[in-house]
Amino acid sequence: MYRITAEHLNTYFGDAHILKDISLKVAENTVMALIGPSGCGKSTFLRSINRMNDLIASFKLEGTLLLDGNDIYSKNMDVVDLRRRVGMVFQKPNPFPKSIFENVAYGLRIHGNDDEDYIAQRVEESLKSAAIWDEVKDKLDQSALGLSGGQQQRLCIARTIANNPEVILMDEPCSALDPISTLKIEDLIHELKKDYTIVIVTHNMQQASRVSDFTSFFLNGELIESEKTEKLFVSPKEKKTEEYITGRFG
Amino acid sequence: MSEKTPGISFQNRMDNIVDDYRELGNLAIRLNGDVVKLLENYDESVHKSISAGSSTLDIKTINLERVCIRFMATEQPLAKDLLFIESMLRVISHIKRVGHLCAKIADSIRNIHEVPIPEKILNQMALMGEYIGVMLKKSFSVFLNHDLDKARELDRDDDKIDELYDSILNEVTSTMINDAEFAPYIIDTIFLARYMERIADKAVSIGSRTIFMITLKRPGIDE
Repeated sequence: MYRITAEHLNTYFGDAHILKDISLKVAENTVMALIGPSGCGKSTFLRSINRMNDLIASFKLEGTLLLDGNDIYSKNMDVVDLRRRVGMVFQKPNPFPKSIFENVAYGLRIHGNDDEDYIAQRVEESLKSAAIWDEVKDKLDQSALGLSGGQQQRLCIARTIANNPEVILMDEPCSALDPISTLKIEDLIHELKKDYTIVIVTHNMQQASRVSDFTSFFLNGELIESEKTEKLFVSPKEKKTEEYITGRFG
Repeated sequence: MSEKTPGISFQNRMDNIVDDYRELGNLAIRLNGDVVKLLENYDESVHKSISAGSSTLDIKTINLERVCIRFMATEQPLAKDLLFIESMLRVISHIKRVGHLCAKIADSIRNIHEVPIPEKILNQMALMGEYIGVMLKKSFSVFLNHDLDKARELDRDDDKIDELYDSILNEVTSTMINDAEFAPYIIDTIFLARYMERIADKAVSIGSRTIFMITLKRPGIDE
């Protein structure tokens, strides 16, 4: 089953044609890595999935983008609910200036939950799922800003999964982290895909090859190749992909 | 994407690996050539030179293996670069083995060089040696140039070696029957021919690895 389906997707910022006729499917409980040089459109594609690009006035989208078969850009789509169903983790950890507990509880509260027992249970589950519970269970009331960068990023992942999303989007989630923290996030991605579908943008080829099941290579707004990761990094079909991943790119 | 430029460090290190590989290949070709010379005219200094050359090949192969491993660890090659380096490790082990076989052949020649081996056997062995030299050159080159067509030819080239090998065995058998004095030297003569045939097999193996490197299929099995 495909969780995300893009068909002939074109996007624009004003007159700039960013994504050009993208057709791509992301299967349920898989990790899809998006790779490509800066400005190739991979983050635009990612941000189209939870309508983050809507925040830019000049953004325009043509074609079809479906979540579980439903049109993400339909007039009937509840964008707040969409962003609950499609959570996002950013490049730089962005915890709220609140306690560790409240960072995770925040999303539950704004979605109308006021059952404190349920919220406490969900916070614990989410922190455990994000592999940070053991590190923070004794200081849940302390400020999240006191955590290390790697811990903050895992806290942000816990905050995302507290809302029971179906899809998690990750925009270079490890680019600001040290190798040990990166490893923890990568291990976490392997665990999370059992319950979620993950789309990750990364500039790190080795990370893409380590964490993803499928990889899509974008260039100048076009989708050049989308393949099983092990195939794409060993014997890509397209010459442009080969040139990019082997660094022959001028 | 007009200029295809991997990183400078990456390219320099890859160039150095290719240079080292060429040096190994040239040394193996030289050793095989010396074996042919030794067959035609035994010379103790050539024998020693082959033994020393085989040892040098061992050391250079190990050094190149280290270089390749460090290259993979630090440059993390992908796609065709990854397949090339991975295949390089296998190909140079075949080249190293060519050196060992040349040394064994030299030892066998030393054991029988004073024996009046029938001219026909010696001529066929010399022909085999020259033909193997051509195959080695071809195999080293097809790997470096990713030449799929020529890599496939190596398997057919080997038919000629097998033919010569069979012919030598037949000659040895009939000589043994007709000339009892030759009997003590049969083992060395057969081994000598067998080692030569195995050098040709190494050239075929390099060709097969080249095919796998390009297609990810084992010739004759997956294709």
